[in-house]
Amino acid sequence: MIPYLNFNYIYPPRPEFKIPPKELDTFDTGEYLVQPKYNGTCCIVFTNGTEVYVYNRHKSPMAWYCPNIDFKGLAQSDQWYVYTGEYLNKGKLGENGNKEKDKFIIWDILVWADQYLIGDDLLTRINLLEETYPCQRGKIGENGLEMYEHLCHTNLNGIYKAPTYMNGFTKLFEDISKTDLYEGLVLKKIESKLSYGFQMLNNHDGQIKCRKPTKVYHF
Amino acid sequence: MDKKISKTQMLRDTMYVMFKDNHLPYLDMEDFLIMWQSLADQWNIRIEDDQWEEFIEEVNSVASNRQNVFNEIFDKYFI
Repeated sequence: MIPYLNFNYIYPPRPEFKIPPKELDTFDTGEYLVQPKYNGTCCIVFTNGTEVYVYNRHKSPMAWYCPNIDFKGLAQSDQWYVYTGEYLNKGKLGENGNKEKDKFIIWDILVWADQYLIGDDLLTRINLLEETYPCQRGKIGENGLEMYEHLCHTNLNGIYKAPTYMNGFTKLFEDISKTDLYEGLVLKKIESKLSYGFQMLNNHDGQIKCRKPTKVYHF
Repeated sequence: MDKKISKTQMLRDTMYVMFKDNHLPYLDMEDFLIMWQSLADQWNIRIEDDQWEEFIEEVNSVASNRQNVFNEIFDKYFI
């Protein structure tokens, strides 16, 4: 770990390699975990509870995001915290058939309490996320009971967390493929250690994406 | 209407004014996307849905407040 004491942009880890769904079983060996791949915009949030910076993966602040999302609440103290995740802004249909937008879904942390988590393995970071935001699939909100199978609530407004699965990749893929909001799965090597995100392509060797086939229209 | 301006250029300029000049404060990115797709369709300008999504993602940035940056992003997807 190295100190992170001021805002500096960090490129998010993103998968570059991809596999077809039929190959999922070969990775279902305990070496990888998976998270749903959401159809939104990759987003990085930097905050110390007072300042907040919401950036895209192109190193530019996002021009538009919902002001009601409690990004500042992601800071657990007055130290710096950096989260990567998906910002839902495309209005894709979710599990219950409603449009999903103006949600930030965390899938990894890069900085925790002024420490850039260089060298920490994925499982350590996922466990830290889980301890901070324990999985809760249901929550009573303004519109009644809000339940998800593949999305976890937090107590922060507009902030959600991606669930993590350790096995059953093919069945999971078939299940999430039914929902517009989910693009597929991202497989992540459990032992992969976080390395520096000073350039766009980073930490990619420990991640693989498996996407739903694109629809082909015949006219 | 200036006949020298192509429909693609008109779309680009229209999008920029709609999105960046803050005339439409009640719209979010999905609203802009729907309006832009509809206009593009009306003007026979078509790109794949996934290209639209990548364009929206890239253009939703403070960097593209500068019209030359916005135009560069637009041209990457539409020209």
